[in-house]
Amino acid sequence: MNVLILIAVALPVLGAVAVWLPSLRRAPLVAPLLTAVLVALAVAGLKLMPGGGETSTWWQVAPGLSIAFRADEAAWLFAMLAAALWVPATAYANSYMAHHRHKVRRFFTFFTLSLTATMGIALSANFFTLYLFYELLTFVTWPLVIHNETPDARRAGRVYLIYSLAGAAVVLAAMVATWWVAGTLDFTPGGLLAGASPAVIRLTVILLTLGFGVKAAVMPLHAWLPAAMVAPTPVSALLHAVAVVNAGCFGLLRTFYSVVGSAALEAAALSTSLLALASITIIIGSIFALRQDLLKRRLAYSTVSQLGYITLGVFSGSPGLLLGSLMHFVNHGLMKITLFFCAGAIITRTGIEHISKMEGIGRRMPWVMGAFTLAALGMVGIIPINGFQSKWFLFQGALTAGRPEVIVILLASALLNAFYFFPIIGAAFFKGEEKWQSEGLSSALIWTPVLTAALCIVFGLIPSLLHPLAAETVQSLIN
Amino acid sequence: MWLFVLAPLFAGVLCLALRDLRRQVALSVVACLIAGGGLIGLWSGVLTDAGAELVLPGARFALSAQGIGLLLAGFALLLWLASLLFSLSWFQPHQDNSRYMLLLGATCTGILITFLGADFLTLFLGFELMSLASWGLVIHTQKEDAYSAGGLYLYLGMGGGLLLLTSLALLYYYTGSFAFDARFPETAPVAAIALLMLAGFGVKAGMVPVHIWLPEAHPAAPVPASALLSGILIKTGAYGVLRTLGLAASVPAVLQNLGLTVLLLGIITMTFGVVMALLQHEAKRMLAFHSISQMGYILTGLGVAAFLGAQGGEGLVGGVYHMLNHSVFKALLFLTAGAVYLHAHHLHMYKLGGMYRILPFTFAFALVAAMGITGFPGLNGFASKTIIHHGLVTAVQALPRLAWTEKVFTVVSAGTVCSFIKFIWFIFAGEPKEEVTPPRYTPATWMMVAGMGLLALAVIALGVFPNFVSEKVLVPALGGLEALGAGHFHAHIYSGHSLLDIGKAFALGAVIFVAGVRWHLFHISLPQWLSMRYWGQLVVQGAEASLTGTERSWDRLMAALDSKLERWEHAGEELLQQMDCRPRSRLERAMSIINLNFDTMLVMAVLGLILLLYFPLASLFA
Repeated sequence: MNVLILIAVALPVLGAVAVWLPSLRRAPLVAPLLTAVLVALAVAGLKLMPGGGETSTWWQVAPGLSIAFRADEAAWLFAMLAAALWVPATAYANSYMAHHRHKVRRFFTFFTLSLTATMGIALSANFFTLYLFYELLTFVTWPLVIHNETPDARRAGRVYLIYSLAGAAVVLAAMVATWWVAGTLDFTPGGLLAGASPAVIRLTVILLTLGFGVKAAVMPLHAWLPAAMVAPTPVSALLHAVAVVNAGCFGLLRTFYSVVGSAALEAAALSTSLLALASITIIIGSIFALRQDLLKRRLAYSTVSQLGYITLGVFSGSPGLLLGSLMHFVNHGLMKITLFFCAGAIITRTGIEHISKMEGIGRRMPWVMGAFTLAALGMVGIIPINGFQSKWFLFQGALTAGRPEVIVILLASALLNAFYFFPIIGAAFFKGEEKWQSEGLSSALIWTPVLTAALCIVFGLIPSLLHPLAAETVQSLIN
Repeated sequence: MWLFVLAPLFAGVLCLALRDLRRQVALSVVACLIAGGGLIGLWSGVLTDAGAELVLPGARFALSAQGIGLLLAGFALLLWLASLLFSLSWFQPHQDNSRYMLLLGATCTGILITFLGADFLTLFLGFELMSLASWGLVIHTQKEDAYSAGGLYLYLGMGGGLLLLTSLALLYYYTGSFAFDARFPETAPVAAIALLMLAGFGVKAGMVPVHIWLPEAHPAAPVPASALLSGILIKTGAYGVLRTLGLAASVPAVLQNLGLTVLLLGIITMTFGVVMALLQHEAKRMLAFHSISQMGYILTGLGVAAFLGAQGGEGLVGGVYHMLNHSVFKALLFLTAGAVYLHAHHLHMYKLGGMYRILPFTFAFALVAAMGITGFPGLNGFASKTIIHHGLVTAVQALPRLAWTEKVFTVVSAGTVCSFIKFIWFIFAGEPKEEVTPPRYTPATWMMVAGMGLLALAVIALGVFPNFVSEKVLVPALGGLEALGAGHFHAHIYSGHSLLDIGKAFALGAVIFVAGVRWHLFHISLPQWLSMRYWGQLVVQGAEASLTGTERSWDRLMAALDSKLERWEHAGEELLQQMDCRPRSRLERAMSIINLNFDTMLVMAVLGLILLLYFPLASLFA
């Protein structure tokens, strides 16, 4: 049993218990942050130390059915992204909850538990473990969605539960089908369904798409995501821009390439229709985003649209596009968490939630809106911010895969992104008559978005930080 | 070298910390001098080029201080300097102008990177920075028309940038490099790449039909910024077109057709610009339309060069020469218009008059610039227009069907003459038609005069020795572009023929002017359906209407679904309420002491249940 994996997956449970214990008064402040840091270090260690790639089985539930973990390339990429972003997100959540004092203990208990679920999904070595933690993620994030306990929040929570549970049920069906055909659920590089009949493969692929597509917000399964924006902003930032939605994308990635396998995927011949689905998600999501006045809802629809970039690569089955989509998997996480941090800082400091009321906000909060501007430019794909990297590799991938129509979709989406992000920037800096002020960098509400925005530029300027990792991952998934 | 190029941006950022306009300008001037000095040092070899390449792991952004790019970068700095000096009078000293100074610096850095980039990737980096920063300049005044102009500018610029990005992706995919002289394999769609680039750069160059942002955006910006935008920023588009032609030069068949396309677009652009300019009454708008028209000259020159290939030296040199010339006289014209505005508070040409008494310096500078742009012999416009004309004549000899273009060229020159007679006549000549505050000669005013004087000097200097400029400066700077005719150029600018040609244009221009005033031809307003904007708006409206329709039907569908779901939800709601209304058990009270409420417990219970359920389920599998 690998100690580092044990830390990554189990330590957050301890952290959550510590938060929950009333005798530890300062635990809600300290324990989540400490947990996040340790988990991030442990995940980083998995890459640096030898033996990270070996399977460590925790519990043999039944013959051939076990809870087991392994940190291969794809797993490490997701685990590292989530764990690394968890640290600023927790710092941010601390500051945020200091302003919105409402059931802080409950909040951080589930916040920390979500880390366990995410790490479990990322590091799972077989379909069974993945499925288990995928369900767990729904249940531990549900209290976070309904945290404010308003009717809206409860309603959103219900929508979230219905969508997620229905999706998970479909995943379960896919799992049964896999078991039936292959007799094992262990993730294997070439996939498990290579020899199966095309009909079975097609059925499995469709089930997987529907099941994980819920959390990956593939249209028309996306409706829970904008509704869940009633959650406190740190939750929106982390769970709905990084952990939950990325768990959906990762689920698709993992099952498509380690369960179905790229050869079987090709045999299923579904990639054109799946690509159409992703393209529709990209375009319609952007168009919906255009019409939102609530900043968080606009960001939510933007997430729906941008996740389309990721699923696009996964659905295509071509190495080039998959590389681009993996780059976007990380880059989008960085940019979107920045945008949500900014939205939350604005709500906390000024109480403004609507874009139409944001005139002159850039002069009142120059650091925050500066970070917002950078991340938004990245979303549009302006060189040299990291969003450009993803777009560039997606373009190259589209050319290699012989699918130039993807480029047209991406161009249209970039333009739509410009349409819905630039008015915000324009209003923030070029409207209203406010005096310039400085909001001070001492609060985590302010410095976390600045930090992540700086990372966006660093990742944009230095492709070698991410590209080799993504290329390795693609190599490991498609032989 | 990156340090020199980034100096304007750094200065802009530092300006955020300074509140006083004079200090901000002083700082920016220092940055300008550092950048200029650095570039001169690199060019002359005094400085060794240590930091030309910004090599990052996996990425490489390279600059090169040589050739035509360096020349244009020098002009960019000159214009920035003039614009900074003019800013001292344009803005109130106590107003907070840090945003403006930052954007101006960023724009300048963007322009410098675009011109000095050693490959297409670096060029693109500068191009995008410039597009974004100059959007801020356009909407800086925070007026309603500035916002709408800014939106048009930004989105067209973004669209152009995306087309450019696509072409770069294709270029890299097929050649594996971003070099200006990348070699294409047989299979590469060279024409498609070149056309995408042409469209992308054409947006910035104000090329018809993607010019529509220009007459809106340039007048909307503060005058010193307009001078920079109209003077040098649009030249990045022309420079990009030049680079595109250079790239396509390795495939002669494509090059020739591309050249013909650019040539025809250039002719259309120059004609359209001048006709629209004649119908304007607002001086800045008129100048903006002339920018379009003059860009048409440049595109014509470049088109000729590409069309004739190695024989196209006249078109190439003329086009590039006109880029330099137009940058100085158009900036100067904008600044003179700004000086008039400072005293009259509007620029409606037919309501002004007699300004030569109040603003003698400005009048002199405006006269120099107007003579420059109309092509008065002895000034710079004459030289470049004559060379372009010679090129066009050569092209007509090669393809006689193009004979009409040469006639159009003369008529457009006449239109330009007429338009600037209007400009000088209505604004400066005659008696003042209204009360105007005479200027107070403060140091700021003298700075303004100095800024304009710098540009006027450049107009004269470029015009006095046209043979030297074209043969000794431009031809060496165009080294590497032999396929476009850089090695095939001999200046013969002052000849009886060329003087006769420009004489014809001046005579015809005067006739048009007299006729126009006599029969009120300048007040014709064209029908709306002739404008691109009108059609664009129709399309946008149509899209919005269909979007709203779709949304409404989507909403109806959702409402129908919702009502179906409602009953189910009610049942669930009741269940939850029953659970909530339950009397509090001892366990629950105990739980609430340790701050775990019912919600949490419920979740935990469900969670446990699920976990428990898995084991029987799992054994089923086994």
